[in-house]
Amino acid sequence: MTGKDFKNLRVLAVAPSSRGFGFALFEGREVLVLFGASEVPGKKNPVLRAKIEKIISVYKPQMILLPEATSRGQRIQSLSRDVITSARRKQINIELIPLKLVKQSFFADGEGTKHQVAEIIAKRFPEQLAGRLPPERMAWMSEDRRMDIFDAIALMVAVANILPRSRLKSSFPIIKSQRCSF
Amino acid sequence: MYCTIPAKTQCFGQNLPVWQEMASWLILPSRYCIFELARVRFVSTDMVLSQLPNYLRSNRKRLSLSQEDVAFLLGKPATNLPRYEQFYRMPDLETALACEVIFQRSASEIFGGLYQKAEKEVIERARELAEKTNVPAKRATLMKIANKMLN
Repeated sequence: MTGKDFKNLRVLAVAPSSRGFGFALFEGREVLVLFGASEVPGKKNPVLRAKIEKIISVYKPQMILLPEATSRGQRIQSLSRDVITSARRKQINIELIPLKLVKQSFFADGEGTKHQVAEIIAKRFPEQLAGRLPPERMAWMSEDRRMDIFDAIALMVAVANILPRSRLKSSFPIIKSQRCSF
Repeated sequence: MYCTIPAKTQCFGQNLPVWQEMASWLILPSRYCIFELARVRFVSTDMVLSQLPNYLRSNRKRLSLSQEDVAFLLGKPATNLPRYEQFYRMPDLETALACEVIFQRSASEIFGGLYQKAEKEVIERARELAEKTNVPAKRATLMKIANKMLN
């Protein structure tokens, strides 16, 4: 998938987290149609799976972006697997984005905090997100639930930023493209 | 047209067929792909994005309004709005125009998918009518409608 192709795609970015998940729906590279976060107490995965499936069935994305979950906990890995299986059944393309790549797309040296990423995103989509930027997290605070939204949007922004560059370099794509729709 | 060729890799420990993207360096015409024997998928860049039936939810969130607020402004029961937002029901013309007033966007923008559908159907009908008619001036007008070149 090249940057040019994103022009006509509806892309759903899903960022699972320890509480639930955040999602963002894009049309093309720049238009943020919808975003949100879902938090579920107790046994999470069945409920989260149902919620993600509902979003997919209502908005019918042509591509789903997920963060690479290999270094995450068992539950998140299982949820990611379920989303992949569900997308595969519906013949939707899946792209797994390494978190390292997300950071690299925002910072030249690949080093920066999640809050800094959120600030950049809030500046890019001020109309929708400026009022939703959570305060900077202190060491004694737990992560704000709104951060899941920014994590999901960061996936799409990273893909939109990185893909044209990878094409220019004419090297093997940086993104590990995992098409599970066949 | 861009071409992708398949490669088997592990996907979360499952043996799923996984396709590695080669599009960044491999640009081939679709019919003459050298990987014809492999299973090849093409991504069309000419494809037109089919819009969602309506963008009520994104517009509502843009203004940070609740469903109850918008339902009140529309003069509708609060239970109607989730149905509009999840595309189970289509609002009537009066409600559509009220949405235009609330969100300060044109109705064709808010109801993008619906507009796209109506546009496509009208263009098809205009072409059909232009083929049937014998009056040159009328045919020219109909072709202008079909090509969206009126005014």
